[in-house]
Amino acid sequence: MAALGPGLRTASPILLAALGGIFTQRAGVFNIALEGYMLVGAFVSVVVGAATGSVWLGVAAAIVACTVLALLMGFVVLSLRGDAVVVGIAVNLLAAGLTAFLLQEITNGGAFLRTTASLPNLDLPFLAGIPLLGDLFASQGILVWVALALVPVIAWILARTSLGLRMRAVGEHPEAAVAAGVNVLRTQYIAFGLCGALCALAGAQLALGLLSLFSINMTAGRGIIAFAAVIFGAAAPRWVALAAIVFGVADAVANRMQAVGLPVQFVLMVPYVLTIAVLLIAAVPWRRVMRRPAHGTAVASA
Amino acid sequence: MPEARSLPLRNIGAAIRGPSIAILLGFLAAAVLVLLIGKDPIEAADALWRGAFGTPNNIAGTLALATPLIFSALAFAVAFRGSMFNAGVEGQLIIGAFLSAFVGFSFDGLPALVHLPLMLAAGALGGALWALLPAIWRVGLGANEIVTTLMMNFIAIALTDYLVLYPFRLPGQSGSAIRTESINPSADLPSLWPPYNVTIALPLAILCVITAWYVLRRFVVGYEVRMVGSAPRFAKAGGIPPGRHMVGVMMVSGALAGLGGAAQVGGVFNAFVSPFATGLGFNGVLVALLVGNAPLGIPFAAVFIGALQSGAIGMELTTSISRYLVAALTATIIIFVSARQFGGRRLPWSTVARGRSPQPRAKATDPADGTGS
Repeated sequence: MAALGPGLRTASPILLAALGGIFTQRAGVFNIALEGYMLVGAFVSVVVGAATGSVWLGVAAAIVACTVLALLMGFVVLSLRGDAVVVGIAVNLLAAGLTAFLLQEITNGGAFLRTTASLPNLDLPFLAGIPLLGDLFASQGILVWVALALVPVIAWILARTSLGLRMRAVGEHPEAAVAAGVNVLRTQYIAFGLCGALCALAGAQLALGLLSLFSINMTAGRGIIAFAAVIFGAAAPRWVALAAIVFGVADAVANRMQAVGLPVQFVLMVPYVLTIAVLLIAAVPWRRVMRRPAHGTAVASA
Repeated sequence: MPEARSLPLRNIGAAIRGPSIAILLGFLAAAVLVLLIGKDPIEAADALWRGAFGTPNNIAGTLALATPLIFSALAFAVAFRGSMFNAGVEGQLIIGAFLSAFVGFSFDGLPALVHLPLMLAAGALGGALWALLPAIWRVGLGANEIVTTLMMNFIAIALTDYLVLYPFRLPGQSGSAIRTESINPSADLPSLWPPYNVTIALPLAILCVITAWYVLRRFVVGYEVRMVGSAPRFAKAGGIPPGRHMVGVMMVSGALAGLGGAAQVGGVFNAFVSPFATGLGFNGVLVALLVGNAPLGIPFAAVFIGALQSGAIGMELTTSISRYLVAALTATIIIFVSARQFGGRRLPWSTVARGRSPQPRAKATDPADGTGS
């Protein structure tokens, strides 16, 4: 239980990015550029936050920058018909290169930029009063709450709104969506935009909520873990959220183990191994596998 | 497909035009960026050129950086031609590197003529085995290989990191880069150009490129692989077993990636170091995409990317423009290239469709995509 509080904290950037990834995944695009969006979000939030002295302006600027970046990637993938995985790899490299380049310009060759500003914590007394779970919810960063609140909101958007319905139709059966008069491109662009905005929050939470600095390539694979969570949860918000939190807790556990000198590598593998395992389990044609022995005994008895 | 035409010169012209335009646009974007920060782009380009080719030392550095990229790019291209998107070149390279280093330092007293091929073979074997799992999962269960190969990268990184830190740790080291014990001199790749790091891995890489090109173009198996990649339904109707070719092509791809890792171990580090391949695999993907996965173009593209990377260090030293500019430049070029390749004229590549509607769940339950059998 004690690891869950910090676990939720380390999970929150992954959770936010994964929630963004749900939109593009549902709209039928493999988006591994969550990593790049997050990095840009972290950079812009720190630079603008440090320059203006306001974390909220930093977060707002990050949302604008990441939405624009995601829409640009959407343009290349959707309108210019670039391969999403290829363009995703390129966007991740672009984000890493550009943020590092600009950071070194700003700091005259430094490797990080500190900021005194950080996102405030928020105590929700009615939650902190719950026995056992109280510790978990005690004084979490404000974006942690936003992330948790977004899980049901996104589930509702996907299940109950016409935008969500269109998005699922576009992802699952584009031809049918076109036949039903859905503007496929527009729906996919909206998915990219929402994904970018949520990854901006993820980057801001990482940079302003947890560390109060930006350093070169600071996301360090968290975007890929978020992508793994999207695959793990088959883009269903509650399962994606569960996966993101489990992966985040694994990260927190690894940090603690490292502090006492235990091998952390097998804990670091957990998100990737679990995702592959879930993918394989989902891919097994269980119905056929289960039916076969029954069929065999029927033949034997006859 | 371009190579099916009979006019080679026209093909070469068409093959060069696209990437050239993308490279030009990429450099223009980078020049604008340099102007924006108030520095001289001409001076930067000059420093970049001198950093890459200015002195024999720099030329050797460029070639040394290009060598592993040839292997990893060829690995990606071969898989791609056989309809497999191998996003796991990085991990296969790392596993190959570790296994080759293990063979390199475990065997004592072997003659170089035996030890060297053994070490390279170990690298190829490691890469091939690491690629085999996702291939089997794809063919047997329909599990999307883009996701599984991508995930396998990080498992490979963590696994080798563990091996270097614990079972194979050399006592008395600390710091961020940890290495195993050094490989025996008999497993050292001989340098072609002493004292530089340009080893026989470079001609070996080019030999692999020519072999891959020739097999894809002239052999029955190459034809079948290309058909599985470009016209899966036609291939199936013609009795070509897609599953077997997919597994085969992934193993060849992994073996090439593993050879790249072995070349790094035998030619550059003389040990396995962790972290090992920071981006070698992904940069290889970019190299392959730059020339549209055509094997014969890969050495040129690899030298180009190698020159950018080695030039960037020189540029940073002389003009104080951050070397990371080159990463952004490379990414921009790839974005332009991918827009060109998949826009306008539609090349019959299977991943055009796959990139646009990849539904792992739909895939898993749909045996009609030709991989179930």
